[in-house]
Amino acid sequence: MHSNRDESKQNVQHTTLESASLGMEPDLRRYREIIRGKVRDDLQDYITSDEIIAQHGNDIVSVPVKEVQIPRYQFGSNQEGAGQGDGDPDAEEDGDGGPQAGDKAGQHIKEESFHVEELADLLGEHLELPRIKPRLTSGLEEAVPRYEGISKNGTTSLRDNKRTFKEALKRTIAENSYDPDNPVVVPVREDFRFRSPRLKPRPKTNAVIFYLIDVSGSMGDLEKSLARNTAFWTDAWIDRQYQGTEKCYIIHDAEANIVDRETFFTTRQSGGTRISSAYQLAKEQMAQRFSPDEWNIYVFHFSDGDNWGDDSAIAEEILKNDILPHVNLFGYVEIGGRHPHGGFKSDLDYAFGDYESVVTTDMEDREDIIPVIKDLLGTGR
Amino acid sequence: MIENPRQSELPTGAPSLETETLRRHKLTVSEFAGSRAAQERLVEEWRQEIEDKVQEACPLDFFPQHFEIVNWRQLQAILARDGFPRRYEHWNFGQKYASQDVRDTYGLGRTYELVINTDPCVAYLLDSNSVQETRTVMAHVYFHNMFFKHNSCFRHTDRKMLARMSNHAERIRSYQDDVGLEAVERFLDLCLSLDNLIDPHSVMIERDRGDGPRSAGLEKRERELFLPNRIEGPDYMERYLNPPERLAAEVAQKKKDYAERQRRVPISPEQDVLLFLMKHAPLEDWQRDVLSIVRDESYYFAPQRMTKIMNEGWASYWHSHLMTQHLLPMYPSEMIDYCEFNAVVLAPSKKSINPYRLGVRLFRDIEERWNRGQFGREWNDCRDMTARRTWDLSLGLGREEMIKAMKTHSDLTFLDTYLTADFCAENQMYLYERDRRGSAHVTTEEFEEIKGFFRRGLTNFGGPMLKIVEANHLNRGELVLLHQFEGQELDMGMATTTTQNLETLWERPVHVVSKTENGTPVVLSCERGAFEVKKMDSGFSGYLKTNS
Repeated sequence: MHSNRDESKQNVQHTTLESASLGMEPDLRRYREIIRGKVRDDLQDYITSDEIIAQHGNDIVSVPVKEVQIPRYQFGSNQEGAGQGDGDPDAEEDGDGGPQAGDKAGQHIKEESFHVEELADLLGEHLELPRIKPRLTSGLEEAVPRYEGISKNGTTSLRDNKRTFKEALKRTIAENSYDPDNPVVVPVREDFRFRSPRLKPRPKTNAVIFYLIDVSGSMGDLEKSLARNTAFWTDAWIDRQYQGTEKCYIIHDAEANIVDRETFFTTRQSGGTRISSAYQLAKEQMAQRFSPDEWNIYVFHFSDGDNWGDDSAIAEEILKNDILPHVNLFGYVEIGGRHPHGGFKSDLDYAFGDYESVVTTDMEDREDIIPVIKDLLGTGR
Repeated sequence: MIENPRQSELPTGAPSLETETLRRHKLTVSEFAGSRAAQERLVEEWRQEIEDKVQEACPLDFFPQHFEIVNWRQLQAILARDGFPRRYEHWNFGQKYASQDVRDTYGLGRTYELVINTDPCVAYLLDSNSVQETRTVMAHVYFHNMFFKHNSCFRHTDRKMLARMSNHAERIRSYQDDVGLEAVERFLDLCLSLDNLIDPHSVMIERDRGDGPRSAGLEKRERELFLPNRIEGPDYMERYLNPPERLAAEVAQKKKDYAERQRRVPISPEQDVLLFLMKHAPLEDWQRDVLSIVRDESYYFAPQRMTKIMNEGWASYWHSHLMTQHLLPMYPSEMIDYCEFNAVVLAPSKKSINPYRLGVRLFRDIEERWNRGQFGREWNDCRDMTARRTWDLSLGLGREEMIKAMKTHSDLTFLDTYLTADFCAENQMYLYERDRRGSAHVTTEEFEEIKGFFRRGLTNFGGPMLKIVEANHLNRGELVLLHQFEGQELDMGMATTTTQNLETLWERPVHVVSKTENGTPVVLSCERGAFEVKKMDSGFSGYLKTNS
């Protein structure tokens, strides 16, 4: 009996209806385009909320969208209604409500699925972010097949009908069997032409992004959330620009550790702050795994700038000698006006103000996420 | 497995079969029958059986009935297009499909069937409904079919709508090829935004085109039109009260006004805004045709929106009757399934009125009242509760009255005629209002109030009534619409965009004369895309009186 069920599922092809369900495609596609436009308009809200990052386990995230209403003349909000029963309209309904449920068209909130990449593109459009120009395109090349050639052999699906016909026509004329009054041209085996793949070398760009986040006690929940949001969208945008980026997530308080993505976006920790520990770890990683000759390197650091007194000098030293010479971009984001005395940013600005590869910026609340992303990525480096 | 499994499980009287049967009847149609071909054979078998019973139970005839078995994806697509597999391309169908998808995936609400008003009548059955549900639904469908055939609201609908919709799709497709997808979509958006501005009753009106014999009544009315105001007084005062010169001047003035009125566009307020735009808006040919398509379809669907309560009530009344008296279930357990299904469909709701329940209750009420003779003056005047309770003239007119009601009414007139205070009390009906925090409080159980609520909700589909009163305002080609204010304010957000859309079509400024909630007259104006709400001024106040 149960096998029948599967059989009947495959057996759904049916006269006129077969095309009916397929025919939904254009309408659905257009609707999604419209929704995409709406999401782009409200991108700020989506990006600054934690909701999307919370589901970051997948590449597909669902985004709440409002119903697109066709405007019509209608009455304003009406709080009046009719019901029946023992007179408590607020009471929970029993049962599933039957077929009339969902009859009323209201302001439904729906979830639409988006690929993170898609949202990153929207973000890029929204902020008019420049395409990143890789610092180096390494000597490495990868071969990509492109269907540009023509061959006499191939599969039917790749047959080039126009060329095939031309060949057949040429042959027919050459054989003197072409009759203009009855221009029938029948291609034979040797007339067939097929499109064929050609391997095209394409320069390969490698990128590695270091995300450094300060999880010390002085970073509150808001600060961490801001850092993560910014990191998430920065990450998404750079991912769009490079094939296969490597990530290196480093969290630090007084000590630095390499963690996985999951941990990076969720960890709560506390302790003191030694920024140099993180830079030291990044430096070691570069030396061991990511040679600056082969990799485009990005370093983004999020901190409240509240560093241990003598540590800033050490950190600057590492930056200057071992990090800045090798990176495409070093971004430093100082979060929170709550620690005005911290000021690692002002140290950096003082020391590296004239470095093109250094961007420093600060943020205080959710409003700042978008401008900060723009600051970090607006250089196009 | 092609053989019909039902053969092998006819009851043999052995009690051990009971549980097995129970399990079987919970199966869906596709599980029960197997292949789609077997499902179709099964449904055809049921169709013949049910059709016989329908004819046996009810004296009215119906269109030939065709059933189509679909899976839930197909049903979603068909639902998204209001029952028509082939319709023009528009994103809103995609949206409906997407939300349908969410509903079905999360199991919010279920759609058991979908019937469309065509000849032959087409109904879609969901292959994942249980055997028992499917049989009930099929019985239900026959009475929707009957309703479409006999209810007067549907008399002017096109019964070949499947073909017509398909033709519409083809025409729009060709315009897409001509002017591009975007232009067609933009224009369709404009048209759909106005598609509720039609006059559903206009199809019933037979206009005097002046080519038949003139009726005496008409001439009398025309004479009355130009009758001067006479002041009543004693005969000897006549010359002074009603001097012939004044009367003559007044008649002349009235004739002049009338003639002027005849020159105006529109002559009388026009509720069919779409038709007016087709005739008078500066449109290209393809645009006019797209507008006519939207209008056609809007008129086609209007009767269904006007008879939701009656239609569902009628079908539910009869499916109950059939399932309990004519199509007795094969097994007792089936009866339980049926009752469960029926209870879900007819469940009362505390937050809204379930049209299935209201409709079926009203029809039962009519049947009982007319069977017992509980109507007419004597009944209405009777205040003796004991007499009322035991009132039974054994007239047996119930069915007859039900059929009469079904044939002649729309929801609005149906409720107006048959909703009684007794009925409201018996069904514990009430009105409620939501306060600022969104919690609901019962406001009244008064019959007149409840009736008023329905009357408001059902007049003009529960939407505002707007009519074009002037198409050449200030001799500048500006369009003026009058909102016939009945106490409810327009939704300003929606009105803004809609008026802008109207202006885009009309290509000249558009004004809507309306009122705010407290009754202050206002004018919503849209000029070159800029929308503003203005205070009423003398230029517009004249239109407030133009109530046809």
